[in-house]
Amino acid sequence: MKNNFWKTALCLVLVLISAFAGSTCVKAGNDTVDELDGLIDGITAFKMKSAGVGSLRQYAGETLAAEAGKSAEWYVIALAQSGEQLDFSAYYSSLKAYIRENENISAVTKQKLALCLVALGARSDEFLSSAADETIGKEGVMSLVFGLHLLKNGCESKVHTPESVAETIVGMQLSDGGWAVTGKVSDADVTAMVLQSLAGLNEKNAAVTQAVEKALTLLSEAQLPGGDFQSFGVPNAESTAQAAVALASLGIDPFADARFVKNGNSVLDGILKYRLPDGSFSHTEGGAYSSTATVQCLCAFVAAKRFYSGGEAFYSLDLEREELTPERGFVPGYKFWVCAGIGAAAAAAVTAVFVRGKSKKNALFIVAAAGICIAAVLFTDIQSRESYYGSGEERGEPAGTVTLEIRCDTIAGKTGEEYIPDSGVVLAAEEFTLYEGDTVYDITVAAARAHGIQMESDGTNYISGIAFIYERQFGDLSGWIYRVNGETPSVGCGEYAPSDGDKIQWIYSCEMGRDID
Amino acid sequence: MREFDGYNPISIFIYFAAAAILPMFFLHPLTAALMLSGGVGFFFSVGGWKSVKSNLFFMFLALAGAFINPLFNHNGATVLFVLNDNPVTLEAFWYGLASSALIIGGIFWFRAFSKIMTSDKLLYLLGTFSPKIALIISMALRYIPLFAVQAEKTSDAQKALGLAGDGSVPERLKSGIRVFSVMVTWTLENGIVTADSMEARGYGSGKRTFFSVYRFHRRDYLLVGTTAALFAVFAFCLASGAFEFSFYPYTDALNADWRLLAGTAAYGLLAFLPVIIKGGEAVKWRYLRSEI
Repeated sequence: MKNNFWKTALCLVLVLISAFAGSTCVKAGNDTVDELDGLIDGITAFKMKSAGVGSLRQYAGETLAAEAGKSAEWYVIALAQSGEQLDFSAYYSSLKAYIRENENISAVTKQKLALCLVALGARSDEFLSSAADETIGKEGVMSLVFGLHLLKNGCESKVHTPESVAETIVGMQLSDGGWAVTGKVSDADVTAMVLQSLAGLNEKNAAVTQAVEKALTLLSEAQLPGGDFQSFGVPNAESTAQAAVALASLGIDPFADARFVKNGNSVLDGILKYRLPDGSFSHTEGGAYSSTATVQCLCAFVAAKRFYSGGEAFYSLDLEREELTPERGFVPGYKFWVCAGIGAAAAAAVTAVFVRGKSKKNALFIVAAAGICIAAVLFTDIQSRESYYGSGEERGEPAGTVTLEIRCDTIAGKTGEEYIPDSGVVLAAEEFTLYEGDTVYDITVAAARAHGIQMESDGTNYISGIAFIYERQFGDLSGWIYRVNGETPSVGCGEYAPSDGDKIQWIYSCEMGRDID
Repeated sequence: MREFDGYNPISIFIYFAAAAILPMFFLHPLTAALMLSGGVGFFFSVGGWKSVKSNLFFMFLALAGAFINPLFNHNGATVLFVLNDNPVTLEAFWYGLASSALIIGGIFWFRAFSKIMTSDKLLYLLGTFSPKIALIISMALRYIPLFAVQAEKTSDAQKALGLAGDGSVPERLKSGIRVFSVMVTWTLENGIVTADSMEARGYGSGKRTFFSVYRFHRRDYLLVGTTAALFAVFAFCLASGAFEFSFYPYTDALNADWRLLAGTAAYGLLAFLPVIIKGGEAVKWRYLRSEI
């Protein structure tokens, strides 16, 4: 900790000196590494604080282990690649348990989990070979990119070779030099991620070299005057972070190369625009904390640190690392103990039936009742308030962003109740990632979850209350209605699938929508 | 034994209406608690001790209500945990507890009421307005215990016939269903038989008259007077808004407002009046015995 303090102090002094000197882009390599250490420490300190743990060791051993398979993966890869000596065996065990329990993992997620396993020392198992054989190319360009990372890190596939996958990827290059998930206009995020995967292959293959050069030219042109990048028309931290990882992976100085400094602003300056005072990062400039932006920036800093300290690319995993032995093959959760308790009670009752010479049909009844209880336990999913709110989960492939706003102007300031905001703004307009197949309902639930807003719904299609404000609370015709781009759709929010760039509003109306403009 | 029994049906009805009806129209934790405890006390004071099993069932029902409400209602700011993506809140638990206390309290009041208000009293009470309605109500009330008695008889007969099985839970369920099916048939048949029997006795052939020997005693005036006075205080405090209480999204704290205290005290006395009367009678009885 003491070491960290001095690092942070040194970093602060360096930042101050550089700010006064007015030089923002050119720094000596060693200083940059110190600054990156400071930024990495800022993110880990923020994550440790929000998880309520005291040390990075505890964070890796407990917090990340608890989120295995859900949100911990990039943190694990980034921390494993940053050179920190941390014990990930608890995480490794729970990730293995997660893989056992979840059969239907989507292709890209499977690849992500496989990369995580490899980063922690796994070399050959069923999951890795199925990830290498079955997922590549199944979900578009992204599944090729992560598949290529797997193949480059020693995962053997009977179907694909790194060269063949790279060839497929190069074949998908758009005429402007970049790549996109869908459509003809390339996306900075996707282009950067493709470049990360092609790193290391470009020296051997002329076609790849050419493609990489073209893409780099495009990325250089796409960089904004502030040093950052944009995706779907919105400058954001994630795109910038991905660009930094791509440059570092290709052996290009990510923060000083002349092609990627605009108006004296380097990619690092572009990322730092999104830094919040608590060390975390926001999606858009001036926005609130975003978990995705924070972890991707962490990856960018780690990738850059590896570049400056002479290390390999971010996705070159340490294949010499010894495989972790899972602590136990099976980590029992609370459900296991509850089910075991029910089973034991049922067994005791059945024994009692036989000992006391009662009818055997009683035993059947007890077994059936115990079965119903166990099924009820297995179908319930209990999460703590802290782990549910403020977090989010990926619901498939990202398909753009939508803006969501929740307002209750019609009743603001009319009751004197503290829980109704006087400004009428329950949630100011904010961008949320739209995943494929998302409905307005899904987006609203994700937004409410991310911001800790209370919500009551029927679970699929109808929202009866948001932020403690319920339908019929202000007259028989009052309730929440939604609008998309100012129009009120004639279907329920669970059926309306918004498209990229839509503006969704939830408005509390007291007269079935007649009282709002 | 049944001190409240001796009162005039009119004063019993007035007391019941005053004590049990108004608190059902709003939800305040204090009145709900008083209504439940008063109702239980009333029920036991009129001799409801006998069946412990069914009383335990009602208590279980009250607790179940408190735990079920948070599963279906997700309002409230204090999230305890998140169950299948739905927040389970402390406020919803309090609301469930208060409302099930009110419901179970109401059930106990009506159970006590039906124990005291025998059919002859009901006929006396309603006979002046509409003898027909009085007859229907008394017949309907009579039907419930009659059904229970007949079900017991049927079940005994089935056991004697050897149809009850080996006493295991599935077998008991099966025979219970069989008894129920028999009872449905019996109910229909009984309705026809009753109607025929009543017709044969001349029901419906002319205007009904009735006779009763209930008089308004001094203690009836006392009961009605006390009830009216306590009710007036309670109703005044209620009307002044002292009993407004909101559970969502933050459960209000109970503040020591004098109107709330006065109203609670008045309603507490009102709800426990039968218990107080019984206690008074018991003291009197002991005193009289000691004089002998």
